[in-house]
Amino acid sequence: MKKSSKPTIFLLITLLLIVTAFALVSIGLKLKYEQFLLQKDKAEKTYKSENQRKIKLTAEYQTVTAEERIVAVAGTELGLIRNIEPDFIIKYDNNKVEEINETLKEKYE
Amino acid sequence: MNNSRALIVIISILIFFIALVIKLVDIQIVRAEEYSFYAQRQQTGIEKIEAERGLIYDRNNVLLVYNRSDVSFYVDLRMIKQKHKNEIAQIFAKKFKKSKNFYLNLMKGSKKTICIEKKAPSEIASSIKNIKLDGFFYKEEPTRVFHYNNLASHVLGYLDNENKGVMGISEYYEDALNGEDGSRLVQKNAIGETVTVDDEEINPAVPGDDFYLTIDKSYQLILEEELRKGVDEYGAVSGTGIIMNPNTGEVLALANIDDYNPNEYWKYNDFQRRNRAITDTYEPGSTFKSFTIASLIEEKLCRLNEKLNLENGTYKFQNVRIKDSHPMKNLDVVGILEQSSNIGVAKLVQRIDDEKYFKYLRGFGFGNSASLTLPGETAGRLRKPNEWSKVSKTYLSFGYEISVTPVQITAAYCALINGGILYEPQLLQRQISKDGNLVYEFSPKEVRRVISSKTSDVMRDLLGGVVKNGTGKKAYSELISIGGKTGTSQKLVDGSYSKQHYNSSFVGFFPVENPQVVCLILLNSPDQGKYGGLVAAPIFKNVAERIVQNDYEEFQEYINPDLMKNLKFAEDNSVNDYQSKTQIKPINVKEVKLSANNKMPDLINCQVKDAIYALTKLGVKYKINGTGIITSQSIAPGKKLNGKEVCIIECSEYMVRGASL
Repeated sequence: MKKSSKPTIFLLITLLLIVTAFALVSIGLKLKYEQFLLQKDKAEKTYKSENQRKIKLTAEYQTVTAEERIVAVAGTELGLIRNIEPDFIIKYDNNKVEEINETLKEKYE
Repeated sequence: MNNSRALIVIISILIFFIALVIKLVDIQIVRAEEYSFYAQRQQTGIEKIEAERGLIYDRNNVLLVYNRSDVSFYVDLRMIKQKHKNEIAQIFAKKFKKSKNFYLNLMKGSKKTICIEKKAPSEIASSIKNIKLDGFFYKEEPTRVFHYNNLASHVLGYLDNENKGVMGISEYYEDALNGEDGSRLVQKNAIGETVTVDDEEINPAVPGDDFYLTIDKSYQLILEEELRKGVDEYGAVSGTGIIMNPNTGEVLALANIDDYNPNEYWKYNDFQRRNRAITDTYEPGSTFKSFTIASLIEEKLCRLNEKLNLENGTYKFQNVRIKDSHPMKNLDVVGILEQSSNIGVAKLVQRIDDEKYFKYLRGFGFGNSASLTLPGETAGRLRKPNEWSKVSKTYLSFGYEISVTPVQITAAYCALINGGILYEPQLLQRQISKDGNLVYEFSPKEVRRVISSKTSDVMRDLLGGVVKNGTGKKAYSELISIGGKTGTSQKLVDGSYSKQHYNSSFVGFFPVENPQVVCLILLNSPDQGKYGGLVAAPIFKNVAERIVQNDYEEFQEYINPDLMKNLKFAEDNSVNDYQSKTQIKPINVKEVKLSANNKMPDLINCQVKDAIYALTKLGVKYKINGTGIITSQSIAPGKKLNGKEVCIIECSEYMVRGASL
């Protein structure tokens, strides 16, 4: 082999190595990118199913906090009693009212 | 010699490389198209991205319908090995609580691919999804969840096995609810797993819009419960109920009993699934008299106090015999409506011109579709005056020779008592896109003015009288003022009017002074009492009272003022009157006293909550019947407890001073 051809071969091999390395890196990146795409896809599916779960829980929350359910549970399971007494009662004695009326009449007529 | 050996080696390598190059050329150039076709067919495919279907809420944002991703599992019997079948059967039997043989039997068939578990909830399916066996695969399938099962099923509709909306809102707004499916290009490996997604070839899905109904879930629940109770109690074939806001035309509840569960629609027949409130017509009978009287009052063709001869219950008109179920001699117009006299109305209707009468009936919406946004609505039948016989107008006056849908009669009653304006029945409040933008706001649609507000006021009072003094007495409530009209019509069976089968109805409203709710109750062929006043009116009363209690704040100002006065300013002895009227005795509530030696305490006259606490502490199981204060206990007080007893506690409501819920 001639002395002058050595650098050329060295250059060719270096170039070949660079190209190979570049090819390997690009393939690696492509694979990684595809992996990310798959992860993204999976994450989107998880997000969708979690979102659906959240909506389902909202519906269940609304069911358990519904007034009709609370009233039913309070009555049947906790034994609470609906207050059937009016909020307040103002009691008066009719005879006393008439008595006062009479007194007023007597006083001012 | 060395040179010749080297030559052989070089030539062999050369031949090998030439063969490689030839094959490469064959693959890459000559058969490139064929191979790429097969590769693409095997590895890549367009995958559908299912659009998320829109949600459905009631008027108070209560979620009624939502989506869930379920998973269906399949086995390809050509690929699966026997030992894998066993493995799958074992896992599935454990997860889905079925026998192992069930799955093994399924996998015995001769079919190529079979579904071994359909639409399994994703929470259960998630761990099974990781199983990787030849011939075993799964598919995600969207499922529509109707959260309250049968509730408002006829309004909501259902989704068939192709995920298409059938009936109700689901069908009518199919496109808007469904959204638009998207697509994407994916590469898959030999066992069908996605290897990569081509992100440049993604066409995203457009989710469906959310819908907010005018339906009130609480009202719907009340209507369905009371209607179901009524259908059972009076032995009716079916029942229909509609609640509307007369001032806007909003449908607050719509129910048909029997109904169906949209989550399992395939288990029910067509009759149960049909929205009979809009598809089935009937002759309204006496509920129609109100429209006749309203037309006459509007045209000033009758005075309320004028008396008419009611012929003692039988009247021959144009060779047709008209009868009253309660024979009367004389009644004024008020009495005619209150006592629902056919003869009275038949005599009165002769005063109005055919065309004018027809104009009023059309004005109230009869013979035209009510335009409720639900599929399958029928228009009913109202013949034109030129098609009438000599007695048609007479029959029309008390609700025969006309067919109406329940929703038409409810909407017409709204017009009758709301000041005279006919509104289009409205089922939707708004349509919202997934990103939260308002797509459409549905507002009340005024169709036309039918009668003056003065006539409407008169009709309100007249119908209030029907409930106070007339055939609608069973709808009378102490709680709130109710107005309405009863109706009983014979059903047409094989072309003639049946004497056994009736449509019994009551259309009412409350409060009379400012109507907020109009409600129709219609029972199909009740066998316990045929009259609307006997069977439909009590159901209406229950519905009305529960609605008032439910929306106490809204109706507070309309609650019977006399009752309020009695309650707030009572004489000493009137408290006792009140107690005797309500048949509730005052009682001194006791506290539960626990004994030290594990003996059954005396629970009589104690509150249930105290009893529950005591029994739990003693380790006694219990069953409670009823609500209120304990009236009896199955284990006698003082009995020694061994911890295995079940104590049955009976309760009843008592008035308890100071206790409140």
